[in-house]
Amino acid sequence: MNYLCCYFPLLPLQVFNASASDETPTPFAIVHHHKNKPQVLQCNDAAAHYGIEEGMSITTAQSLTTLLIVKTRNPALEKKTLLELAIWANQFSPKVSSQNDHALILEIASCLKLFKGVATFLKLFNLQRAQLPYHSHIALAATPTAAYLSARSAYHQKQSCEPTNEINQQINQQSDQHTIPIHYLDCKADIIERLSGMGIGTLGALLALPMAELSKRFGTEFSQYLQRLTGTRPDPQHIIEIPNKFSAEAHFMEEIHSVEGLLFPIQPLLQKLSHYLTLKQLTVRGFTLQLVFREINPLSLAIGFSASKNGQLDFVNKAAHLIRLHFATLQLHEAVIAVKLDAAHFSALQQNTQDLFNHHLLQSISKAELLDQLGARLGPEGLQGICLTDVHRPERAWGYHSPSASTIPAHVSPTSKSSPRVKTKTQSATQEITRQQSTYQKARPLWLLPQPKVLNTQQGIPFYAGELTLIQGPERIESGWWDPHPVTRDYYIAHHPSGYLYWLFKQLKDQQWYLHGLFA
Amino acid sequence: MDTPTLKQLLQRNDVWRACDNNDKQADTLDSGHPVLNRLLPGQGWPHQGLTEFLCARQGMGELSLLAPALRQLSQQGRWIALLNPPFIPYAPAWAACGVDLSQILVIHTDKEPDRLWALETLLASNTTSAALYWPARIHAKALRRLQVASKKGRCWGILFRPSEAAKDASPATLRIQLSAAASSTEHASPHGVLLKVLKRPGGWTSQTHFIETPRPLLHTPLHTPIQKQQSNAIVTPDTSKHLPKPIDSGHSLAKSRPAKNVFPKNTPAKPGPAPQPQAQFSSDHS
Repeated sequence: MNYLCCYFPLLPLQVFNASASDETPTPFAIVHHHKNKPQVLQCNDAAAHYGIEEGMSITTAQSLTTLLIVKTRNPALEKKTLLELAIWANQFSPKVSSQNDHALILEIASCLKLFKGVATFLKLFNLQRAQLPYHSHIALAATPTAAYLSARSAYHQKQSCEPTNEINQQINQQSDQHTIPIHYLDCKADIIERLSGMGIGTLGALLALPMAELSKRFGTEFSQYLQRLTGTRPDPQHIIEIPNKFSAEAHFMEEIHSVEGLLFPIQPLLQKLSHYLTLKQLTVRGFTLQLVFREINPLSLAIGFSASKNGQLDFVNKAAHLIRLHFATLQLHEAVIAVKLDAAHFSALQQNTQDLFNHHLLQSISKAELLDQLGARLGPEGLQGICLTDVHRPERAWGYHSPSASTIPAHVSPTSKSSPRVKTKTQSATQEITRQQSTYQKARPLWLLPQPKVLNTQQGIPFYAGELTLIQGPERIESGWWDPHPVTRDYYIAHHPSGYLYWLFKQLKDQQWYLHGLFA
Repeated sequence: MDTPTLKQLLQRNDVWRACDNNDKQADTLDSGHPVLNRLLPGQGWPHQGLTEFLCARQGMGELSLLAPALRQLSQQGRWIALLNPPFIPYAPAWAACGVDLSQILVIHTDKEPDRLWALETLLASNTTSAALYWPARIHAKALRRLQVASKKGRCWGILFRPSEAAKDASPATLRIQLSAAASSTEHASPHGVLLKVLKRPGGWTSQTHFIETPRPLLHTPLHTPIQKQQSNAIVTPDTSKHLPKPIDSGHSLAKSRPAKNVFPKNTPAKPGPAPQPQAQFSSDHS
């Protein structure tokens, strides 16, 4: 029991719609060209209900029901899907290979110790397998070829496995290998025909014959196949490597017209991405979601995470939530036929430790995730943090910056020649310096007007909805003569009879009074 | 036998004693104003739930009233969100109040549904310690949602509403009416606001109180420029002796917070040409 084969018999059908095998009301069939004639390769249960079956010509099938949806087999898509499944299977074994484009071979002998025995392994594997949207059969065997053969025969014989002892049956399957009919051997049809003509019905009967004689009659290719089957000949497998970029897509059987309808089929794509990330121990800073339309150009949505610290903890739900927020403002002008998800920029997963005492760290979502959510709906330009700058002119002594949940300096320098001492300090030290600076700063208002407001004067006294009383000042600010925004002002604090405090200045150039801030 | 029975009674969850309110210090935030602390349930601002400030206009001292609380909240490492603030939050002044600027998040959106959505997200996110919002009008239904969200996310929702809203019912935990200490009232002072608690848990509407707010103005005594210049080598001692008096007297008067008539309309020097020795010269060093 060194190898496990996971066989996906309905892959050509199910790549088009993962839920095709269950009670989809629309009959659906996949056609391929057999001897230059299109014929049905696979169909779903609804189509089978109308009497459509494998090998039927397309015209016959369409005459049985007019509702039938016909699609041509898409081998490229199947290959891509199998690769995704290989990524999925990588969580159980590092050595995954493919067989005949619709089966995966997992080398499990080296992994059984990790899973504490084959029974536990199969239990976990079946649990995960049940969540796959593809119909599958598994079999264990000593060689990859035998495992594939067993899985195929298990599918075709449609063994009715009771769930309770399914695992035992899967384990015991190996002993039943000799009873496998020769029809499922992976060889030319005429060999099987000749063998059955000779009265050999099962694999056991075939293997009882001397190998040299078989080789003589049926060619070395067949005997080599049998040797690989029994394990007497080495059978190196081509291990599937996980690509460095993630890409997944979902094709819809029916066009989707509403944005809400898109959310459901996107979930499996996110699940795949989450598996991929777990497997490679990576985190993603963003991905592109592409909506493919029939007529117009695809629409790309960039979905970003501002911090990937928490890794894939509940990744699918968080990503789905962000997508939902993006969709909230989206208008679909045409029906969507497919969705693609691409992610290329990854960073290594950082295991972050949580603070034992600070319970604020045990939050349901992190500060960065809050920014993601807000940014997704309001647009990133709607979110700003404020900071101090090294400029003395009041309207330039502050600035907006894009907020981030990580440590950011509370004090940024507009020029590169800020003091290196401050730069090397930690954030808290920087803040300390800022705070010390602020203690000897002059009185500044908490609210600043976006534009200074021109004030009228009466006998030289500024007027703003009442006569103002200057109670502090002047504080002269003369700066910026070296650039196009020079400032020469005398700042005063004025008291309004109604109890308000205003920050005024008088421009020395033209003796004009302005209101610049409110001591709120 | 009576005593244990009473004790048992008092330990029941559904028995609530009005006097408990003042003893319970646990889940409140020191407002920094002793008078205000006595008015508030639990001797301080609530950590969660909505608090409404009803004020006729912005800029009467409502932020200075909140500044000590915001300073403490900014140490929690959670966001302090300002949603559509009416003016620019002036970073130097906020820093001077001791607020950690790296925790401040300013959000601007045009659409009303987006604003309410953003506020609810902020309140419920558990990563925001306080969210401040200045709605022109807000529906009672929205207020109820926000109240629930702020309890869920342990976030203090602060709404600044026009004073007309006082007559409407509101699910907010705390409703406070603020008015400027105008010259016509008995507390005529630029250094405080008149405060009346309209709604509070476990208490009636309070009297109007004068709360002295530590405005930035008080951090720097009014004669600071003069003192500085006395120690400043640039200004000769002779010139500083000839400083015009009016400003200085205005200062000392303002500091002692006297009755209303001590604010003569023309107390400071007529804003003509500023007396040169008094004007402080400063320029960029960058």
